[in-house]
Amino acid sequence: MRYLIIIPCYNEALNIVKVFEDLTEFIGATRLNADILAINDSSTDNTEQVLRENKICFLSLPFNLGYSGALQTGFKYAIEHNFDFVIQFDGDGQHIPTEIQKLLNAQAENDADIVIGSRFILNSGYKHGLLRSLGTKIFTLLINMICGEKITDPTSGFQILKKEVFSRYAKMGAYPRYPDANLVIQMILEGFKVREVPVKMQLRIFGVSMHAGFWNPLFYMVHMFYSIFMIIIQYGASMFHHQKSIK
Amino acid sequence: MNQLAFIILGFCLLVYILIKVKNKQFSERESLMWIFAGAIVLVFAVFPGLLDFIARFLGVYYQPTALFLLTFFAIILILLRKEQQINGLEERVKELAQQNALIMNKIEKFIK
Repeated sequence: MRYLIIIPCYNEALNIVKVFEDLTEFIGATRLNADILAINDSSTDNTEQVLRENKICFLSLPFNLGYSGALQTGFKYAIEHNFDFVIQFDGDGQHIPTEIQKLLNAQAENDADIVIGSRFILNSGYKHGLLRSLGTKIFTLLINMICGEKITDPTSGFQILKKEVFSRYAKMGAYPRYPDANLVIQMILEGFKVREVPVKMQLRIFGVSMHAGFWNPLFYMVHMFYSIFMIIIQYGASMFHHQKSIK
Repeated sequence: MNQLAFIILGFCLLVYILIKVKNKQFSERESLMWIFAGAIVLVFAVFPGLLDFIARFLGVYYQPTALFLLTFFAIILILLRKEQQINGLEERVKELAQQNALIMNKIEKFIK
């Protein structure tokens, strides 16, 4: 099995080398058949120069496409190079490479299509802002109501995706701007097996999160509710069948 | 005099659009909608009674209000169509940017 670790980067010049070194160490120690691919989302700092100097395999987007656009580029690369799994990994130092093993184990045990690394199944000590904490709880509740499944951390970007899943994402005409609870709901309703596993995460080392500030999380919440509402309209019948099959 | 001004206005709008299409600054497909708008202005200018009829039909007692109402809806429809086209273009631009990144990566590997 071949794995591709995708790291979307926007202005991560200060973080990316450490992330890359830790990942390489993990791959070496576990002998995982994995390649690392950074996607420079048109950073305004010297991320590209750092990637080049450290001989990290990377793609450079000609202009900023945002987190989801960068991820989708990685999925397209994974299809072109015939990878079996994609591991989404953040370039800001939040994700811990050794925790990948937990995702790998959960995927193998459950033959899951998507495995999400969750900060909230066990108390990992990870601190969210008040608004985001509340948002995560509401989205967990919504997923449970719509799909009948418990996903505690739908906003986690730490995931393993099977080929069928990332191929689907790569070809999605309108891959969501925020691929979180909305996408989890959609994939469950489309019949994909989604599992969660508790993982530890740490706060980003340098720089600012894309959800920083007051307006960004607020806009994110409104956007996410709307997106979920549209999925309910689109997948209304599947929702009914899915809940029935669980019962 | 008012009627004549409206006829000239409608006529000028039609001629302006046709010149733009002729000079290839405006596609035939997109210009059709505006030709239609120009033709409506001309029809209302030549037959002002038509606006009276429409206003009465819509239950609007003040004629110009009916005109504003129709214009407002027409503009909303055009805006929606433009928004749809922009969304389509955004998706295509995104696809191009992604393909560009993938191809540049291949070229760099090839050069090395």
